[in-house]
Amino acid sequence: MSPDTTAEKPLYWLGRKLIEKRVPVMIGVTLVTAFFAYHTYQLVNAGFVTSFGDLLPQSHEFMKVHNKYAGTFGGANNVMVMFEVNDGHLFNVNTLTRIYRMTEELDKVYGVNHSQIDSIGHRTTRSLRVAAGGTMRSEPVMIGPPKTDEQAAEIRHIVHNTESIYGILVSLDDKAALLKANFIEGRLDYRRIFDEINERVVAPFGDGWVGAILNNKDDAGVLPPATVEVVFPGTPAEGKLEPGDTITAVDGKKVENRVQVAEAIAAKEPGQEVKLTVDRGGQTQDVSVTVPEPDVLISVAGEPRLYGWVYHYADEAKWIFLITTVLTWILLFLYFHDWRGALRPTITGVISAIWGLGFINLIGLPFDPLALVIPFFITARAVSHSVQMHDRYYEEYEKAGWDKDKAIVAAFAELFVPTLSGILTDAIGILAILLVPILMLQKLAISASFWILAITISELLLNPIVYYYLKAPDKETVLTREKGWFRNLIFRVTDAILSKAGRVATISAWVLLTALSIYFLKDLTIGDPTAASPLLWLDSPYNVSHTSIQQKFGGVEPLIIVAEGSDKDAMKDPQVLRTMEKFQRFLERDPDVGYSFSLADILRAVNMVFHELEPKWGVIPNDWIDVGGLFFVFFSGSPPSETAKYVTPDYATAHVTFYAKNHKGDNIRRIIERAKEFIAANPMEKAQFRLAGGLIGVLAAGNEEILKNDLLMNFLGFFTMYVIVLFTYRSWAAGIYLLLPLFLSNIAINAYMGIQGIGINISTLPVVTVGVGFGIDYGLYIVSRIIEEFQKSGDLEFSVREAVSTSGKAVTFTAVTMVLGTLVWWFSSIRFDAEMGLLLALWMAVSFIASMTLMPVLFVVFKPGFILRERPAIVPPTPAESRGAVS
Amino acid sequence: MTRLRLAILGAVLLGAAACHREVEMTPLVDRKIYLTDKFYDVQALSPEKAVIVGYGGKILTTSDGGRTWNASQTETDRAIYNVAMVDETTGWAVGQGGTVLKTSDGGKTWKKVDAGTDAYLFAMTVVSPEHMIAVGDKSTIVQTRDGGATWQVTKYEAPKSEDASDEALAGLDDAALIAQEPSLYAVKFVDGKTGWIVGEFGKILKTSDGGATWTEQQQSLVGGEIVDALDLPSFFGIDCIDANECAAVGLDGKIAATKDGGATWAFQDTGTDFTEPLFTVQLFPDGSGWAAGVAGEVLRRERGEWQSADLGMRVFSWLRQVSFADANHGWLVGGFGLILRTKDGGKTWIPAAA
Repeated sequence: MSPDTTAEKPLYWLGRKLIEKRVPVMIGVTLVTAFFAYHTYQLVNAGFVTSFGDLLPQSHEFMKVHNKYAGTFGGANNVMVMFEVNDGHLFNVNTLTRIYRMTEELDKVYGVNHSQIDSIGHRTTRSLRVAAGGTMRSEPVMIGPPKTDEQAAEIRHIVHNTESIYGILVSLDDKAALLKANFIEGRLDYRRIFDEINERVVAPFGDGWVGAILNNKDDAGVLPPATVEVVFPGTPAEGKLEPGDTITAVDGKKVENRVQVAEAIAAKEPGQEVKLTVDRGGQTQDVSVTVPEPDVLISVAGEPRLYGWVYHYADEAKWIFLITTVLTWILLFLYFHDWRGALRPTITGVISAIWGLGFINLIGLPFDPLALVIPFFITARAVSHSVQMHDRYYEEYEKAGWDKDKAIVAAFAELFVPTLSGILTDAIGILAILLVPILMLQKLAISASFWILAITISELLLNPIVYYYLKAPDKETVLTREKGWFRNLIFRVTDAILSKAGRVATISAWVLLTALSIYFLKDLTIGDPTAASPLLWLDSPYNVSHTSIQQKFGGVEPLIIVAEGSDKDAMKDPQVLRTMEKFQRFLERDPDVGYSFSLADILRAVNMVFHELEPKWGVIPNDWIDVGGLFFVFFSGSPPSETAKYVTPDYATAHVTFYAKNHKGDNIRRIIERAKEFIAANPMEKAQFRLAGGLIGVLAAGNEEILKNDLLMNFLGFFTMYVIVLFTYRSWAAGIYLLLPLFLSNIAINAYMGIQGIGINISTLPVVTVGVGFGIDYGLYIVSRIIEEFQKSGDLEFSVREAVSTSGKAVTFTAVTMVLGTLVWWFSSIRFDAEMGLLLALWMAVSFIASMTLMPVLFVVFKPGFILRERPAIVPPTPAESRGAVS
Repeated sequence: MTRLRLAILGAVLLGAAACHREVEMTPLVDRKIYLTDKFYDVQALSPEKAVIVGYGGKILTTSDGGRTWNASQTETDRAIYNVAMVDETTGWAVGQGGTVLKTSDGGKTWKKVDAGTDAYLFAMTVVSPEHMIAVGDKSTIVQTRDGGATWQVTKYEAPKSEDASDEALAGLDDAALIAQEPSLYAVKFVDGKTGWIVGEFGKILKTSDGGATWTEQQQSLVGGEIVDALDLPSFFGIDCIDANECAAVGLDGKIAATKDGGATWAFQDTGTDFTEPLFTVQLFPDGSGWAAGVAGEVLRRERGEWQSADLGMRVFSWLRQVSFADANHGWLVGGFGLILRTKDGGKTWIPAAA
């Protein structure tokens, strides 16, 4: 309650007025809610979407390079598919045909950039060959699938002798081939990419493989009937299927195309029989084929795939939502002993969610599964405020001599200030994220802020009206609660903390915890601190795939550094090419850079093949005329669209691409720093290196922006809270008392993140920033109550006890409920959501404990002036006996 | 005062909460051998000692059979193709763009020597302590007869013969090709006077006067399946046991040998159907020998017969040089940072420690 006693009257007046004018208020709220409900419906209908462009810090200098060259040299959204044979090597007709067909299928996946596919089965992967008359021509490594063992051996020969392919697209042990595809930023549909890669690229050649190649001549996106083209000897299909057969059903279930065939077969266990119904020359026959043990391992990694998995798991959210809701209802019922106590918070949660979600749709922010924790979290705030209000209503109901209207108005007026400042601190605090120039974060901040503000609608505007219509609670219920074990527990704990020994213990415990936390802060990192993707669990299929590709080929995540020439033909300058090469050798020595690729690699490989495979020719020529000659030989046969991924058609600009082993924040920073170091030390006459595209480039930019603004954001967050508290209690000191628990829990949480290896990045930042203000309301409710009690009693210690055991009781209950609710996230398959859930739970727990222990002790010990000045004119006799059960 | 103290405490805590760890500069991997290395030459100096050269000005030496390596200072980042130690302290290395390096401290440091050419010097041999001959592209032959003080750069020119004019008639393109200066890929001397150079288009050149004049010997290979001098394979390597017996290896897995000092050369049965280039050969007086080439292919010679050799591991990269110190201790080097060593005459090979 505000220290300004005149504020008391207007608030009581407002409460009564709201009940009086309940009909127009309700109509107004209903209309606006209906409007937002419509938008919520649209948003939910649209499903999960992640807009990649919004994730990028567009004002960062790296983004200019990324945006300019992503279309040609490769963007940040590449998928890698590794096809690895269990036995033998790749170079036989069966396996090469599968790789060729997989490449064709990958090329058909929605949103793929057709000129940025790399695979030995793709036309843009070329090698030099000697044509008739001794002239050299560059031809695709595989013009089509090989027909004979000799052709397969020839492909092996080409691969082994082309250094720009061997070790890059085919592993050095000949067991694995890598297929790389880049996706166009504007057409990223993660769910679709995920499904299409599974259906078309993985299933038909992995688990769904029985040894037959099916017709893949799609007609304008329509899949043709599943007609067998080739049956490989030594496979289960041999002797069962014949070329020309059309598979019409699998196990009696009708299938229309190769995707459905593969899906049906892949669903069976190895060793099981599968019945294929085929149309052979007009006659229908059934053949039985044994599903084989998979002879290959297909691993898929890359950012779009990662998001595909996240979307895949995102449906779990509704179960988590359901469990949390049920859990909360049960706890609320147990606490209030009646259904109204459960209904009130629900109303607030639902109304604010409709407003919040509707607003998200209005400003065009898509529903990102990674941001799912935040709505939960805001709803938790809403419920928290409701519980306070409802608890107070019961209390006032008893005090008012069971006069319902009086109780409604009193509860409303007394809690108005802490509720409003609690909501405002949350809502304004999160706006600190606006400092980071990442559109997604900014939109998220604005919508989260709006959502939080929407809590005021039901909590403050509708509150008296809802109580007006709700039946008053039974007297017995209210009285029973007063004698409950929970209340007794709170009394005992409060006494223990405020005792002499308790004070010392509390302060020492907090000093110790803070010291420990500050020590562990050193581990906190910006960016992702773990090698595999921290979004998913370590043993998730994605992370397993990521690791196997990285072990075989060195790295998955690209860092594209552009060599921008000052003139055309700059990329023919031997000095430029040698510097690119030197750059590669330098940065490859960083333990987290797997391998790299540049125009210089192509040049060396071409030079060697051009000179009868003599390795001594595998060098960068001494003058640009020789370089130009080799490029001419190699590139003249292919259209500019195919060569543009290596170098611009005027040879002015090319790139060096490094593949990093992971995207740990520290490693990204270090790699970027080293790259800058090299560039500064190795100036080129005709060109200059520009940072940076690829996933590593854009992440580096994002991390840099976050880092740059991190301190300021923290400061702004706390500053906002301080100012609001300043206005609420008109005291400079009040802010310090209220913010101290938050400081401490903030430090503790940051230390926990450091220990657990949770980094601050684009995904965690909103959660962490929301969390900063978290728990301020616990303090606000308690402090307001202390002042309120002090105004009556003039006894500080008594007031603190009273506040902690009344407001504190509701605070304890909400904290327990919210912690339990948030912990349900721990069971999510999305590790990110699980970790954020745990983090928020911990955050709430620490803030709560700080508000319930440290803050009251500080009040009792330091006796702050902003409370003492509220001393009443007439000090009533010590009211300790009114405490009841515990004295 | 209390407030002030609290305010200061708050500010300190805020600072602590906002500060994050500085990025740790994990040191760069510093190895002697990387997967991206290309090794072009190895010279086995003794059972335990060897020197290896390769791409990017790299020269490595070992004196403990490859367990540890020392990287030499070379003053160049160009490819080094060939190395030869004259004695314990002095040695030569040649490479891309006319690079000639000389060491006087047993291979620890190498100083650039200006030999007056910018040709790619693919191979070199030490004829006598003061006499070194290097060969390279555009038919370049570079010699010093005074330990590097003065240099003589010449181009081998084919004598105008009737054959050549016939070929000129046969087709302009082919004639143009043959008229181009062929690259010379290997050189071998058996004594101060007698030596051979092999190169592109099947060129086999012999000198009997210490490199002053050269005569072509490859004509004897024409006949049988090779109907035309133009069809002769390029030769990349040559080795001789004495002034009479030599073998040259090259394109299409061909091995040409002579037993009469080069008067007649003949292709040998390699005992395999291998048709990829062979780059290097080493022969021993007892009729044994080694040859190696593209895609990890290694041939072994026993009592004069070639056969496919088993390295005991899967090697697919090219092998550019084989060198044995004696019958048992030998080295093989190639692409993708490959260095193999044997201590038992090639029965087992082990990769050198990185």
